[in-house]
Amino acid sequence: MTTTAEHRLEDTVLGSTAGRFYRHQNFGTGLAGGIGLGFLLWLLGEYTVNNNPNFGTDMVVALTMLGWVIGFNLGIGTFNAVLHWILGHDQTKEDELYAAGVGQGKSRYWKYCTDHKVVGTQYLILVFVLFFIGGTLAMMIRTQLLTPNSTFLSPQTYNAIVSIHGMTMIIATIIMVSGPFANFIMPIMIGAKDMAFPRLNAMSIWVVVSAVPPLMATFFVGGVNAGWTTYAPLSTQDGPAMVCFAFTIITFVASVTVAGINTLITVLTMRAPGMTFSRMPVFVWASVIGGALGLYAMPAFLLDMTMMVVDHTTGTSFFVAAQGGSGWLWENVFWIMGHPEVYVILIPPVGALMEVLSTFSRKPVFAYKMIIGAMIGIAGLSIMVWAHHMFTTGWAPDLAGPFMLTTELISIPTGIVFLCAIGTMWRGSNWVRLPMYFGFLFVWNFIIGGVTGIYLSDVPADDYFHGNMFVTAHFHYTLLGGAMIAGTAGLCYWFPKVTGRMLDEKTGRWAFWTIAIGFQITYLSQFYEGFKGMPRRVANYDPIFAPENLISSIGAYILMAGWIVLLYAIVSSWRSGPIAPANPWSAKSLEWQTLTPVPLENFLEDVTVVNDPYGYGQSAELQVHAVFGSTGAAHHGEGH
Amino acid sequence: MSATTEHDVTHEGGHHDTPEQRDRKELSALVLFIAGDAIFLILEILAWFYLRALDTQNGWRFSEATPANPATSGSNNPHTILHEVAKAAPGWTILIAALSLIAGLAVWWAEGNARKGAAHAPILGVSLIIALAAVGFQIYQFQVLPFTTVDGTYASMFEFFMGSVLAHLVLVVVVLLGVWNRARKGMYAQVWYQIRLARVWTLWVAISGILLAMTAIFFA
Repeated sequence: MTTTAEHRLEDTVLGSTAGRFYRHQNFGTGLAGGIGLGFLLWLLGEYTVNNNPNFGTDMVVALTMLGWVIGFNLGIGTFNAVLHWILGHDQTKEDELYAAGVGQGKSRYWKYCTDHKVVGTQYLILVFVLFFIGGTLAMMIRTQLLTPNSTFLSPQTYNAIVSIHGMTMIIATIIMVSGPFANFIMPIMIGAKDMAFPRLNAMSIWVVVSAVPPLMATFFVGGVNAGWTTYAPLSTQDGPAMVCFAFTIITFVASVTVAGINTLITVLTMRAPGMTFSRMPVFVWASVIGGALGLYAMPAFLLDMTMMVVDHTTGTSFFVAAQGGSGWLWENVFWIMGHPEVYVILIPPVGALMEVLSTFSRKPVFAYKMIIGAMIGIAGLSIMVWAHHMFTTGWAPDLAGPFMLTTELISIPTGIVFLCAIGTMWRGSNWVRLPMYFGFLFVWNFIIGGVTGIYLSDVPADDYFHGNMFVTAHFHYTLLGGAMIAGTAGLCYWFPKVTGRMLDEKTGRWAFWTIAIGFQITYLSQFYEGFKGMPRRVANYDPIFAPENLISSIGAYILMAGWIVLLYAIVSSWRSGPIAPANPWSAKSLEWQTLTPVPLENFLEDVTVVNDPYGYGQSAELQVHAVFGSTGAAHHGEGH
Repeated sequence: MSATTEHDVTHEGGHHDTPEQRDRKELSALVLFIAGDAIFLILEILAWFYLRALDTQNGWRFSEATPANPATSGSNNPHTILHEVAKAAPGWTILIAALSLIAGLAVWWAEGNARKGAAHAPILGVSLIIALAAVGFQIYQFQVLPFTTVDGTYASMFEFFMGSVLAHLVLVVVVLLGVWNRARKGMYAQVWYQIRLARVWTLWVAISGILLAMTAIFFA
């Protein structure tokens, strides 16, 4: 370690030219660059390709989106280092320190900043924004479904909102833990000074930021009518909005890929001495497994969306049956991505939850190796189950049996993880703080989401349920009730470390109960709708489904109110909550052993890991996770 | 790898890294990136075979065409792709794949020279020119194909392969441009791991291009 308490890297006084071009770049220049280049390429398209009667508009939209994404990233500084490298002008140490945010105060949060803690915070804000957008769209959907034959939205607008609600939430849930916490917390947990590739890390956040406006732009160019899965041939018949949608995904895939590689390499190469694989916190394992699974799944998403863009813009016919294409190609490639992606969403939050459960139960994680094995098993099996999404499409009926079997098999490792969560809490000295509340809620929701998933793996049952609201309720129980609630537990747990403030627990508990009750009302009603046979993705429905829909919509309003209360608690606590001590939960993992706010290089002294981080209730020797500096002090943080 | 000097220490993110550490990290990252790219490649090839096997509406390629009786020419009709496609395309396809392989081998040679302290910048310059030529030929191949993207799934997949190869070759050119320029400035006199990374990437692009070319030539 090169720094000492007397000389922290962040205290370095930089020269007036440090950072070079970075000095003039921020979110504003990114916007200017994106809008400027987007406009230029739109003009170019208007005067060159727009005369093509079949593909002109789609080509113009594609060029505009390309201009936006490249221009935004040029403007904010994503490509600075690459261009400098090509020119043979390496960044100086001062440039790098400037890029890491030294001497810039809060303005660094609006810049291309390489400090992993800033990147994690930027991700957190983006996740809030995406959930707010997705949640608002959800409220519009439920308002439309409040009564039969509602005219609140036109059918086309409803379809567009359903599509973008779905994709916004998918993007948000993929990054909700792997973005903020795998960036902010995970490197500290393994005793690293930073992520392996700080510049790629900053790139990952700003690239995903640039993916959001194309998604919102879909509303202004006709809307995506094909749902978030954008099945062909519906999506091939959609207008230029589908091109915007595809650009969002292609850009998002670039971000997730570099983020996943960064996470993997960080864990493989930057662990502190003594941080063996068997001593790594479960959350670190979960981040690695989620990152690796993303690396497998995202290329399929890229292929599907690239083919879709060229179908729209150049007249290829990958998914156009009249010219030799097939909708089944789309569906296969989509679900080769889509089912692993469910676990890209789920595994990191479950890892975060295990940290919460262990800390607040004051017990070691139950069956540590079983959890890791089960998560790897889930990841492995998840790549062999994709066709269960296609049972009702008529594709390869002979394969229905094998895919039913693999899907049912995945419930075994999932059940093991669930039992380990229960086992960790069982007979623990449960300290029921806000993160633990959400931990309990996860357990309740996930058992319902998991068990109903087994129904859907069964081909005969799936024939009935697949096209109806049962599926909607099921995946909301797993992704919202499971992953998002687990992620919220993680947020409440790490909030003091990330913000330096304690979260307002009283308001948080109000939020918790509102969310918990609203959630059950919303989605249990939808299960009932499914049993009665109400189709999903419909703007209007038969009046026989009216009572359940009314109840579900009321539940959704309660649920949204709960999230708003939680958001209020977060924002108000972040602004003016009590200052957090370094280790308010007396936890053992490394992120709680360093100062708050966390120094630029995370620790002021060398870290040597000597035990796993779950030594609660063990002998005094086993309770020590790491020692610091040459003296080998057991704890470095404050405020135990 | 040569001994590290204070001058060689890199500082990404403000932190110290030796060239050895960066080499290890960046090579590992590149291997993972290639693994992701390989999945993309495998899916591309699977899509080729899937659409070829389906041959929906006889839209893969006009199946009754023979060298003696080629289908009628013309675009906008999936049933009229010329049989000569299968003969005309391989020439360019093989040439482009061969050029990317030669570029990769040249980078390998340059890496060996850099390790020995011998001249390597000129070789990297040659590899850059070869890669540029491959890009040029790939663009040219789009112009000379006797079909367009609207001529059914065979044409769609063929041109998608070409686009994929082109995108990869462009990345090769960007990497080689940087490596050559830095070599020209003597920046790899002591630490050459970036040339190794360029070699790995360029050879991977060559291998993936060859696999696509073999698919297109032997399974038309």
